[in-house]
Amino acid sequence: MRSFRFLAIAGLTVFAAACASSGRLSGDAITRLEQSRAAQPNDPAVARSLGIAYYRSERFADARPHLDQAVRLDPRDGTAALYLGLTAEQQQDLPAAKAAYQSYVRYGRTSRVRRQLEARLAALTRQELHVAAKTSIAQEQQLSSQQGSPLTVAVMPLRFVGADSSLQPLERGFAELLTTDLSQSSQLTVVERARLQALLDEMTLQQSGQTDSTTNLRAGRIIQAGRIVSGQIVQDEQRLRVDAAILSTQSSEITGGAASENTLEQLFTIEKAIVFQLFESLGVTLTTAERDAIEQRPTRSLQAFLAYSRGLALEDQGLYDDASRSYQEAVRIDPAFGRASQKSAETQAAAEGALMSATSIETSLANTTEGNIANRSSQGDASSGRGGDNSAGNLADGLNPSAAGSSTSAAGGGNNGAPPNRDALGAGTGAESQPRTATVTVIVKLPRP
Amino acid sequence: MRRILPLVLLLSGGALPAQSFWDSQVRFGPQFVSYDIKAPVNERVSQVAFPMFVSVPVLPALTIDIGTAYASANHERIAVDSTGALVTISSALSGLTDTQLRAIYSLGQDRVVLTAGLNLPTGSATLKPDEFDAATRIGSDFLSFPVSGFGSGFGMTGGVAVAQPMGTWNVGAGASLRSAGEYEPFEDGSGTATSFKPGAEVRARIGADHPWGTGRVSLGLTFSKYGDDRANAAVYNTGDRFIGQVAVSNSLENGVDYSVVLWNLYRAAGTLIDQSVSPSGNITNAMVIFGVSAPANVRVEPSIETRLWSQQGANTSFSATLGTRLVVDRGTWAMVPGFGFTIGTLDAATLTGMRATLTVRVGG
Repeated sequence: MRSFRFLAIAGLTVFAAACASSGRLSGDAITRLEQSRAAQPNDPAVARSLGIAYYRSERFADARPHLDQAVRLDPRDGTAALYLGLTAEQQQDLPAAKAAYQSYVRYGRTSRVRRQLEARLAALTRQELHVAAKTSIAQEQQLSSQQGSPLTVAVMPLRFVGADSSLQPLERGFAELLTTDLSQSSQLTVVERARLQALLDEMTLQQSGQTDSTTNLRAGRIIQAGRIVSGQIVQDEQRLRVDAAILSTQSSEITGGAASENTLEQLFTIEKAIVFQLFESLGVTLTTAERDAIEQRPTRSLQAFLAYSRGLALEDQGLYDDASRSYQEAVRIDPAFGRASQKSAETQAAAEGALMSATSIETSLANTTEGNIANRSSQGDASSGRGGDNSAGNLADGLNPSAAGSSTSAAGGGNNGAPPNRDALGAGTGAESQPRTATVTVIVKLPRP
Repeated sequence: MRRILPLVLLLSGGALPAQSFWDSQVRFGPQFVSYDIKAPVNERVSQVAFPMFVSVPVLPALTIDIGTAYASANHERIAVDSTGALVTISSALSGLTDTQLRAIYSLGQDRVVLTAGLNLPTGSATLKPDEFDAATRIGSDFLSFPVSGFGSGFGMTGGVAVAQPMGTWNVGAGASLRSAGEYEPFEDGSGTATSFKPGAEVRARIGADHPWGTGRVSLGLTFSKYGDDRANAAVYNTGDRFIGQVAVSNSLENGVDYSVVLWNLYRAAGTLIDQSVSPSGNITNAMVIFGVSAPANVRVEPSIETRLWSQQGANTSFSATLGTRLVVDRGTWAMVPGFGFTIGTLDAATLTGMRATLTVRVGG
């Protein structure tokens, strides 16, 4: 009992010790890891830990090559992928950050971080469009000198002219319909609407969605489209007329066009008429399967499509929460509107992802295996720490062991080779001892009351 | 290093802290273990076990886990009957084991952990004479079975553990108290049962670890103090236990990981149910494990484990197990098939054995 008293006192002494953040970077941690790195240049765990230690000391340029190597050596290491993504984001390398986060979503072990990164990916995808647009504008002279293929087509937002301003979102909604339908042809490459819109935004033409032909042609050249489609939607009470023109970005000349008019309720009939005329003007012959696909309508409800179009406009402005609500409204009106449902989820994720910080992601790692790895890296320790340390959790597990947990621990990253626990009955009957044929005899001698 | 470290220790049994409900995990692992003990013992004992373990983080700091198993144990002994002929005496036992329900509450990023557990008596606790040999043989400290007992009545455990970095070392300490209820472990041929009340157990652990290359070196000491057991009118104490543990892990320059794990269990002398002396005993176990990357992101982990058992008044027993396992870890699931062969001596008898396992994790 004296031994126990000593151990209890030792335990209380430890308990009383000052608490320090386990994620804090200790002074010589990086030095120790650099030494380990020199000794074991091809060890993925060392590369990962050194990269994490550099990241946590805000030495992002130093962190990057080590984390790159860690992921290359062990592509299924979620912790390395996560910190590579965080580092790449700090360096504004969004494609690399996205690739790393996608790797974490696939292989990472902390569900909350997986969900956070899914949202972050949605936000980064949109952010990436704007970065790409800025880069393209900066390289406008060079890009414009390269002739785009005539089979690469960009559909510009149409211009709405009419008294009912609630129809104005059709500028983007109609353009998206045309983009989607033109994309059904395998002969054409159609520029993604969001990518084109990001470029137009950067060219400060977003206001009211209005464009002019000069700016459209400029955007078409930057984005390497050989031809652009632009036009207008004219409302006359309950009727709509749509005029579309195809312009060559090289010659600036109109090479074709389309026009259709019908009642407002027949919006999709108008759009289908326009798109088939555009195919004809573009010289594209459709297969039966392509024609059947184009005939499909995303929704039968004009109101649902208007709500969807409002969502597009809000999303283009970066108002993801509002956009998500508009998409949800579209789904509420027409529950079968699959594209609206998908966009609602994407913009909801983008809204969450846009608010997310590296700190909030790292906070979610607290008390997890991956968080412990990161914390150990801050302490200059390259080990994974899974089951390998004297964390209180592991101590507690040994104090109150689970037989089934132990015998299945191999798949959980543990070891079932631990010392045996006492079986009170086995100990009392001598069954824990070497087998002897006299064992049964011992039982017969059990005392009775 | 990260793949093999799990093998290392020591102080772990697999309760990984987790963050949210979605980090829940289910583990199961069908296993077959068989030992053949040659003359003069002439026994064969085998077990098929299906352990199942579910861990659910119900709160960020609170994890509940539950574990149980279905097992079947068989024991055969060749003996000489009254006519001088050789006969095979069989004993078998199958069924569900007890279920262990645990709650683990973590404070301050795993710095202080409170643990509470219940042993729910879902297993077959009362042994009939024809089940006795099988049930008790799997409880041997020397032989290693995935299920060492089917039932031990209702029990409760409560404990606290603390850990703290001190310089480049992590140190920790903890203590727990286990109290078990009364149950009837035996029933003789006439249907008379024996009443049994295990003594309370106080367990204390201290440990320390330090980075070592790409791995770490870890030290641990566990002390278990037992209260008196009571079987019907007999009161006895089987002796306290000390477990010392050392583990070292690191990696070689060619990317091969290795771990060396040593533990020693010393059991002090005590008394048995029949008031005879239970001699002191000692088991020393050494295990070396290597981790090698194989194609398709599979890890091959060959190992050798040796065990030495000495006890007052008996020959020293020895076993060596050569094994290997393949670790297929895909993040949200893992599968680990493994097998091993054992040779050695048990008292004066030659011992051979084999084991085959397939553990699977889903989630986490």
